[in-house]
Amino acid sequence: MSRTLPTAAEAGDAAQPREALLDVQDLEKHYPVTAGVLRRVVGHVRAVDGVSFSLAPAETLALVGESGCGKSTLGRTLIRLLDPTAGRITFRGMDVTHIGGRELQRYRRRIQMVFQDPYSSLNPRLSARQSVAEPLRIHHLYDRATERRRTDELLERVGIPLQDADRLSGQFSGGQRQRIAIARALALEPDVLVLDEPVAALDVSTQAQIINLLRDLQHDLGLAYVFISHDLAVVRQVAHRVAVMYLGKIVETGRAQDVYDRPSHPYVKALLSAVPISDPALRGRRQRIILRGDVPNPADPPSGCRFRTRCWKAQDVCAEDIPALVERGSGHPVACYFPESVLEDRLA
Amino acid sequence: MAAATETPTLAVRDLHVGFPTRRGLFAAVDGVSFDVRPGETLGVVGESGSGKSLSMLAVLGLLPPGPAWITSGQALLNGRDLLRMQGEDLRRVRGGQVAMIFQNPTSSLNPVFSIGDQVGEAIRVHQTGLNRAAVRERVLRLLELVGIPEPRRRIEQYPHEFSGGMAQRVMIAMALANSPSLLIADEPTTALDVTIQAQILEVLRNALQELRTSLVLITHNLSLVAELADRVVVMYAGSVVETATVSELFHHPRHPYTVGLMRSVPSLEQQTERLVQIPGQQPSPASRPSGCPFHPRCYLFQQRQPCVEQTPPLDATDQPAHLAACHFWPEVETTAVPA
Repeated sequence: MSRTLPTAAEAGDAAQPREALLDVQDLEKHYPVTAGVLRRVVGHVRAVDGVSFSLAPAETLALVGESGCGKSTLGRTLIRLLDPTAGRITFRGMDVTHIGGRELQRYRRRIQMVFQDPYSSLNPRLSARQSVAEPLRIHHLYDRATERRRTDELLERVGIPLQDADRLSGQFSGGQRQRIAIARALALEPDVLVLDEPVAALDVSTQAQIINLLRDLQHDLGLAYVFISHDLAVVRQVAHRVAVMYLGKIVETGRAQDVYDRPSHPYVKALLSAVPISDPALRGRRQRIILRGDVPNPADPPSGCRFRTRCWKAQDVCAEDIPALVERGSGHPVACYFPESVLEDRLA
Repeated sequence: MAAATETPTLAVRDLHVGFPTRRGLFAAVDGVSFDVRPGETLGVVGESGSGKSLSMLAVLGLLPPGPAWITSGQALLNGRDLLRMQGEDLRRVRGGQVAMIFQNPTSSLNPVFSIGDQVGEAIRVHQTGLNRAAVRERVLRLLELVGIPEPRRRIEQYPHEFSGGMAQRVMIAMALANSPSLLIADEPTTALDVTIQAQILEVLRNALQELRTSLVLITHNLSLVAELADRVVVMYAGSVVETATVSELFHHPRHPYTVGLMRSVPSLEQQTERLVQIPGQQPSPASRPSGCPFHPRCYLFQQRQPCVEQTPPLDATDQPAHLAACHFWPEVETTAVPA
């Protein structure tokens, strides 16, 4: 059935990952902070600060977090729109961290990106057909007739009626434009799509259309997704595995169901509890953890655990050492010295 | 909840907002009526282009300059028609009896004045008799009301020193400065992260309760309505398609658009096999279909004549306080929504 996501066993268990398509080790991306007329470097924003994960074929890994957590920087570094400061990115066993020229061009055929805002990611003066054909031309893949056939196939695949294919992309609605952007990303038959907030700019009814389309495409084409989002409900609908980020680091990761049903990092617990209720009957019945204050300045993060300044469980040790992202009794890795346990929940 | 017989704080009657073009009048808001009762929170829900923001801007006389907007109907605030008011009268009411907060708090604040000056100005404009010390006291009380820590220090600071969440608290403080009887909030938390959104909802809930202010919450997000609203108005293509109490609407929706909207919201609790999607897009005012504006996207349509020929009126259903604009509303509860 093309309607459901593959089961956890099909998608690869967190404990026994299949051969990784994309593997990231200790990745860092730091930006210099400058001051004064001489633009002297006075510090660094550690936007991505030691992130490791791997992605299996046909799998969706969601990078989740609030603004400033580094999820979009990480996405852009993955497709090498940004150069990593340190760490390693491996694609099908090949180190792509510092490749350039032809090699980089070949890598980008295998990994493509879809951005949040289809209003600025598509050239409004190209027709839908031209937008999708452009990557094929750049890579000199087909003769004219084959190119046309392939373009039409792609447009039909994402649900753009062919009678509209010659309209300018600026004349389409937001949802239709996102379909065109997806067709364009698929043109080179990539293995991986990095989707950066692909439905955040869309209305709910359109959002559902795009989520369903992405699921169908994954099922039919065996695509792997890195799905970047701040929307925890959307992520629940698409992700096999999730990695929750806070100030440049992954604080908890695991199979989506495990993280959602048994969050063990205090931040993840608070984040999930902050999502508004879906039914007025639940008003006042959900235990809500309201975090105090704002996310600290990423140029000057707290010592030790970066969440400790907003955490109700913080102790001295949290300020001294950075907790490692390891399994601590909850069945999936968490970077916290005092993770929430299932037992604690039962006692509460 | 307030009794239905009480005089409403705001009564909007047959509101039309449009602008003339060479191809005729574009009706962006097409005959909207609703009441906001004293102390209640009314959620106005719709997707972009439904006319939800435009109708409230028209009520407050805040339509953007540019096309020649034509507004007709009535908007009675405590019995006085805002649409007949002009100049000084209107300015006295805005920020006094009725106040508004918007989506993007940092662009609503003036970067060159301190927070204390800006909140203070909101008070001085409407309460001219107060001296400096009294205004300062009132500002501090307001900042405390919206949960800004260390208000004595923060009062001297400038907008760039405030995060988005803190700036939205300031906007709420300014809006509540003159104890308005009605607050209109247009997507007040849409630009904020979810943990900050939870803080702002808490602030709003407490402040409204303390001041007994009515709220019109304009949003695309049904979850915010589930959190805050007492009653709900659902808008589609410039019209109200359904209105009911919040629990009636969520548990017994009577309009197929409302059903589609609710079913297309992704769930946090479990992975759904397939999200319900409403096919197609909301029509623009220029291409609105005949009859029921929702019929081309509706699963109940089934090529039936009335849907194409007559615009369904917003009428009582089996519950008197539950209105829906659908010829076939009794079928909503008995028909399964196609995935």
